[in-house]
Amino acid sequence: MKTPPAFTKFSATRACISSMLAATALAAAAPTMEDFYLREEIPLPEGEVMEGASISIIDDKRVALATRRGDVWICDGAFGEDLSKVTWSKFASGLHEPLGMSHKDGWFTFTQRPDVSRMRDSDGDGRADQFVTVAAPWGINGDYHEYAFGTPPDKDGNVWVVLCLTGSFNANSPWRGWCFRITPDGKSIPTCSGIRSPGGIGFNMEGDVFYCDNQGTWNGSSSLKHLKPGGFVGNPNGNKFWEQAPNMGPKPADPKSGSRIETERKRIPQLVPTAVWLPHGKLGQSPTGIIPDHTKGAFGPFAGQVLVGEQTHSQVQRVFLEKINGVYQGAAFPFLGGYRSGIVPLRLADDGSLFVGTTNRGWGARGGLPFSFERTRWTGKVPFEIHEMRITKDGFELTFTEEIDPKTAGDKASYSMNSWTYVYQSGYGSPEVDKTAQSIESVTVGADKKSVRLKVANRQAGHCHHLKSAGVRSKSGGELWHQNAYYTINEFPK
Amino acid sequence: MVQPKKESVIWFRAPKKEGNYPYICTFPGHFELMNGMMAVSKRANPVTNLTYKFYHGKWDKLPDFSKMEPKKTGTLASGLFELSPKDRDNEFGFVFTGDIECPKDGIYTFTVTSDDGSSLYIDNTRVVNNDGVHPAKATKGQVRLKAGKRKIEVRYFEGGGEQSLFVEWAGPGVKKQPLSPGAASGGGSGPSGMLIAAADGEAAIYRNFISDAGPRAIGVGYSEGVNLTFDANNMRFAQIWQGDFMDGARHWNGRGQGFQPPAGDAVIKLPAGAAFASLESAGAAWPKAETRSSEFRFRGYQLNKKQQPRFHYEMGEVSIVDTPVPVAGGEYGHLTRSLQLSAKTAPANLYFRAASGNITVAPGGFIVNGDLMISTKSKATIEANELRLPVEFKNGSAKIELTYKWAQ
Repeated sequence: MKTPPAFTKFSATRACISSMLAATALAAAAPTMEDFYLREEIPLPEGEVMEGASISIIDDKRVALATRRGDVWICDGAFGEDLSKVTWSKFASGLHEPLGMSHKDGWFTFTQRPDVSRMRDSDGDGRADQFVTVAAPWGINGDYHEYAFGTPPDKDGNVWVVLCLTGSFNANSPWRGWCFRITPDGKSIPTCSGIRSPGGIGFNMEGDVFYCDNQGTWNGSSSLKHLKPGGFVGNPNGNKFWEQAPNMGPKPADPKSGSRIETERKRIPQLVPTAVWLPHGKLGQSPTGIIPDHTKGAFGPFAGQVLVGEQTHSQVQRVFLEKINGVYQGAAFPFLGGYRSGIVPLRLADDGSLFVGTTNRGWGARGGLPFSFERTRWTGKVPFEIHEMRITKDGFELTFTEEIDPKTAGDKASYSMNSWTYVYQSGYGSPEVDKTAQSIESVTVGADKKSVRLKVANRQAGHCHHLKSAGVRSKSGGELWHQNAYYTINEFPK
Repeated sequence: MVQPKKESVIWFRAPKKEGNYPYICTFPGHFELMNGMMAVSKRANPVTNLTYKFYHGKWDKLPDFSKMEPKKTGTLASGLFELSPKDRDNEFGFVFTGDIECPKDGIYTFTVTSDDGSSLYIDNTRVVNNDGVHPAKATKGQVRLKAGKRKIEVRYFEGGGEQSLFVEWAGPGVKKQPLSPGAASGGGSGPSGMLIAAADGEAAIYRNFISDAGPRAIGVGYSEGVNLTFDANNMRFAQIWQGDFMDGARHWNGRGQGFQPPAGDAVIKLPAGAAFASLESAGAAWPKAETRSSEFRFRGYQLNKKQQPRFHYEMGEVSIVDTPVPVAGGEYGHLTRSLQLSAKTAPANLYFRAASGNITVAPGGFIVNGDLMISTKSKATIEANELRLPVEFKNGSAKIELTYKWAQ
């Protein structure tokens, strides 16, 4: 660059300063998880197989871990600074794959393959002795795929259960492919049909219920689905039981294979569209447990959003949900990773300690270990991230976790967006289809310098929209920790 | 990629070098379940001159094929026992006959996994009896043989539903070798080596898919050396046995497919279906067994200080507490059982079915099928080949007490 002679000395100094700034920017350019979240493996009892199936927080000292082999262990000291000091005791055994557990007033409520049950130690010897079967409305026939995942009790005290299809394909046993609400006194209320192969179930902050369904038949990619009472969430194989549930209303018409959810939902009023696609291979392959970040900030800046476990890639994703015209949709972001095996259950304590249980048996996972039990805590440093991604009348609004650099964040060249959807078909999974490019027409930076409004042309209903924000920098010049976001559009705001 | 329920054939040139070659499906995540071992061997299949006779017919156990005319006959050039010559999927049978070369003198173990029933004979002596209508189930048999060519015969029938046949053997000079193509399915001789045992003085509980006890089976292994399974679909004892309790290896490896049979010995099966019924008369037909009883509701169990369960279930308004208690003694102990019923309105004509089959009166009780002795102080009669106890309520409660011992 040619320097005007009158400014040579000044320019040299400026050059020196700007190269220092550049160096600082480079140093801040690659944030890693350890800057923001500390992941620690909790030592496990010697020689025991602790494949994580479900977790519940007992109090501010103890966490219970239920294993795939049917044992329930209590970890004392799980919240301590020095995890080498934790002690373990075996509370119960002989459960049948307990995939969903919670604790209240000494009782553990859990969902296992054959039923929803409760147990407690009634004589105070540290071991469970009372096992009560609350409800067992569904059938099982010996097929290993017939899993049952359950939530903790909801605001009405009901446990929500989702039932995997036989072989993950058919409904050969009664009620496979259904979601039930089990009331505290043991009544079973059929609530949704359309489930295929769940990996986990849980609540958002509003107390609405979601579950993860794996890529497979009638499900082009793994996804987060809303369990809307009376709804049909996609896979029609379980609909044969619809008439046995008069509370569900009229039976949905059969979807046409080879179509799109967006097309079929116009024909089938009961069909609830996928809330958030978790694009296969890009954001995991096998999503599992769902929990809300209820901690009001103890786990970092994403309080109120939803965390989703991932079993194949051994990660935790983050999901921002919103309801547009009464239908759930929203954005999925990559979040945490590096876990030592595939995550199935996760639980967040009030103090911001995130516990995950893991396993790789039967379905391979990254991380190298057959199982682990890990605790993750926020370091207190706020990562520079897209905080929320909301749909607007003419595009999207992004908020950020810290002040942005208006020059880069306000430049439409910092962003790119493309979209696709999946074939809604009886065959297994789907490639990305109907690929469409969106154009970012303009960007308006918010007055608070922590948000931008993107005007986007060519958005598509029923599509997963991949937003890449590669050029965005924070006020201090830092890159986004995660540049990719995946927003599923079902509805446009009116 | 092969779509579900479709098949594909891959042709390749086998390696020249003898040995075991592992293979996997490289679709991400599938290798855990979709893997196998291909053995390349200069050694020929030990079975030669394998011929078959194929029959049509509807049976619920192996018929006397020698009295029937086969629909077709042929040779299985591969020397492997398989069902491919069939011309239909249901209501058929096979008799396979061939020679098998035993490399050494010694004890050989034959395992047949079949749906439905099968049996295996060596030199006209039955070694494996895997008869009956059932999903893929494995049964083993052992026989002492001299080296050389022995006559091998496998008989098989299929009723309806799934059909499969898989034969394998092991013995001196023979590490477990399949005599059928592919792999055993479902109830095949699965992985082993993870025996579950009760802690000293306690009971262990294993809740999983247990053969002949259903998918809602609750296995209980007592340190006294006796074991039982409780079928929580029908509220009944499904079987009792002695010795080792249960091997967890099938369900604790890979995805845990199939039903696990009891470990140990002297397994005695008890009648399928509900154990309580209201009957018009003592000799009336017992209600047909359901896969899952529509009348009963399982309520759970309570453990005592020794981790021994007592089961709670309901039949309408009748509440039942079913308490098995092991009794130590001899090499293995035996079992006692008390059933306590309570109801505001006592049901009329309620009976308890303790056993079914060939039942004879003996000093001290009843002998069932020659291998089980049931004794009881409660009133009991043999009706329609079943041991039935009338349930007599007094002031809203009734009690039945039984002892189960292995007959000599």
